[in-house]
Amino acid sequence: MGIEVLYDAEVVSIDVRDGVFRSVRLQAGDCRSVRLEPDLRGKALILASGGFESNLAWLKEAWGDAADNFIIRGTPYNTGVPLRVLLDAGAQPIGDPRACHAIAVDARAPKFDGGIVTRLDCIPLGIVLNQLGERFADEGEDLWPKRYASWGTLVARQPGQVAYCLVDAKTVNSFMPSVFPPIVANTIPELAVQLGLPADRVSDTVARFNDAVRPGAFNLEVLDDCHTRGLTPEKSHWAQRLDAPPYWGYPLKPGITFTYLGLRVDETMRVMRTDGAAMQNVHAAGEIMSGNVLRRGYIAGIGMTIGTVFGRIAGESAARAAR
Amino acid sequence: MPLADLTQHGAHVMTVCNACRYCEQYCPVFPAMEELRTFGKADLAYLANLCHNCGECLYACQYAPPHEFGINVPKTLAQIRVQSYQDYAWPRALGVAFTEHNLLTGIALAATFSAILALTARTLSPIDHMADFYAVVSHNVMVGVFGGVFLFAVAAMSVGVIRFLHDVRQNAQSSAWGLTRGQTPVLFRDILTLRHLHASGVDCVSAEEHRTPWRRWLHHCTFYGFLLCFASTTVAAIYDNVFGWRAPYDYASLPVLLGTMGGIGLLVGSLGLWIQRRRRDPALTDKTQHGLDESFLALLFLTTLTGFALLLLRHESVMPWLLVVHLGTVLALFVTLPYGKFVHGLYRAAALWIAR
Repeated sequence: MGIEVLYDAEVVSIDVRDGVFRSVRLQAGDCRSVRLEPDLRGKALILASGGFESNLAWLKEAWGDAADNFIIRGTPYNTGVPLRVLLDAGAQPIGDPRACHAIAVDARAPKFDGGIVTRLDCIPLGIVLNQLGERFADEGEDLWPKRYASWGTLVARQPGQVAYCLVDAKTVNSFMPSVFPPIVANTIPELAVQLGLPADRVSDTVARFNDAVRPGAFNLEVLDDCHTRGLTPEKSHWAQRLDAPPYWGYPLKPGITFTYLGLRVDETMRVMRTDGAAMQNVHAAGEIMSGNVLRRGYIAGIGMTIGTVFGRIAGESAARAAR
Repeated sequence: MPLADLTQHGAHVMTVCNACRYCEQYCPVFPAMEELRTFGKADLAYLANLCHNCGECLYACQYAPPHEFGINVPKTLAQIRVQSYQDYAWPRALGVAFTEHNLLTGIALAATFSAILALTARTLSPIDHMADFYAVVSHNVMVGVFGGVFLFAVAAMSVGVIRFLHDVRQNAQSSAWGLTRGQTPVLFRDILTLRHLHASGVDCVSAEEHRTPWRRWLHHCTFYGFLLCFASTTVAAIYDNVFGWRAPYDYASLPVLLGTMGGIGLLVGSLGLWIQRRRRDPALTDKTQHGLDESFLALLFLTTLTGFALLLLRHESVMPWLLVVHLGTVLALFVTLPYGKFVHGLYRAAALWIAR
């Protein structure tokens, strides 16, 4: 179709004045030789560059020092330059700068690009403790796919942005294997020591949890009736006593998939300015404009759907603008 | 890579795959892997032999180099595969052949056997136009040597495959040996059509953006060519031993027709595979195995070439020389069957059987 794709090229600045896009400046090449390309002029621009999840400084602006303990699940290159440039050029932001799709990943994951294999889906099967050895959220609120994108933020709000998931021998084969081996011990205090947690407090938390577990019929297929009574917070489903050694522990950290802060658009995907007018020929599609769509939850495939639907509208609109 | 490291590395690779599972639609390796949580040596041998080295999963992998996990499933499984051939070889000591093969060893072995046959031949001088092969190498020597080597090769390969099945089955989920009525045609289709080289309707890869059917078709030429030549030899053996009809046979006879068709397949297939493997993305293969692959292809090619030369020139004065060279090459091929690339088909069929 005569479309040229530039690989290994990064947008360093965009010329947008008074809501009109003129050109984009690129830096191309690999780590050995970077060169500044001549400015690319155009009649219309579509931004599809997502959030700023790998921009550690920007994350720190939003989250403070807690951001130092975040793991970035994807590429280190998604630094949100186009988003920043447009915000500076008078585009209207949308969404909370702190809001993001973040899951609980294994704390041993690499800082960037650990991808899918570092996620841990044992949370509904066990209990999750913070650094102090205390539970802080309902592990059994819903099954993993539905609660997938909430545990990152939950862990991010704990001291040191770290948490520990504990399961016992009854459930070790009920969740997807993780790429990192579990930390294994035959008693709860031993496991606590190995995880670097206060053993007395952990033993106490587990004992109180075990006492609070009500008998029920364990069934991972439904929201079953295994729950606790008398705890804060309760575990509302799949609550089973932790009493079958060996015990397995996994350290957890928040793993950011993508951030939600974006640009407000009109119904033709033109980027809106702070004064309420739409930019003439600047369009946005995908995660860079969907911060409000994804505010409360996430279902599998929604990111692809957003990209496809709004990408198509933005394409049509940009084609009209370029005519 | 030392053995312990290779097992460890294979377990690491499979652990990453098992936590990801994005490739589970590609081929039977990934569903079989998902049945397991830990990966011991036998498990890895099983998965490695299920792998057809189509290469698709390397290009799909988000953990392939330059990612710090450095996952390359086709290459890692290729390394483990050769290690498994070596481990299950019988006698064990001869397993070392799998790592020592190169083009020279195959050709040198053929030359050595040819020389021995030439030295022990009844005559090498031109004989009449009867094309009497047994005047050069006696009937008894031919039957004795080739029958003996063939039976030994069959025995050695059977021991290897049985030990492989035994080891793998101890860990595999399915414990039944039998095939159900539905499984049998699927298993045979998968083996005989190389389904996993074009599993989802897409041909296997030669490079990242390059998918061609050639590797599969050339393999079919080679495999079915080999079977036709084997059929030709079997028919000839029946002619000789049951009916007492001695070689040489007419151009229009069944052994010659089968052998000619098979020979064309082998010439095209082995030469084509040779060229094709040199053109494939080197990231997909273990380069230490070039010798293993190429010596087998070379012996197949030379066996066929000398066979055709003998067929066409059997009434000429060079016949005795052509005969000893052909027989020497065939002998080299047979002797190296249990210790060369040939065994891949047996272990792969066995692995597919377990995975059914």
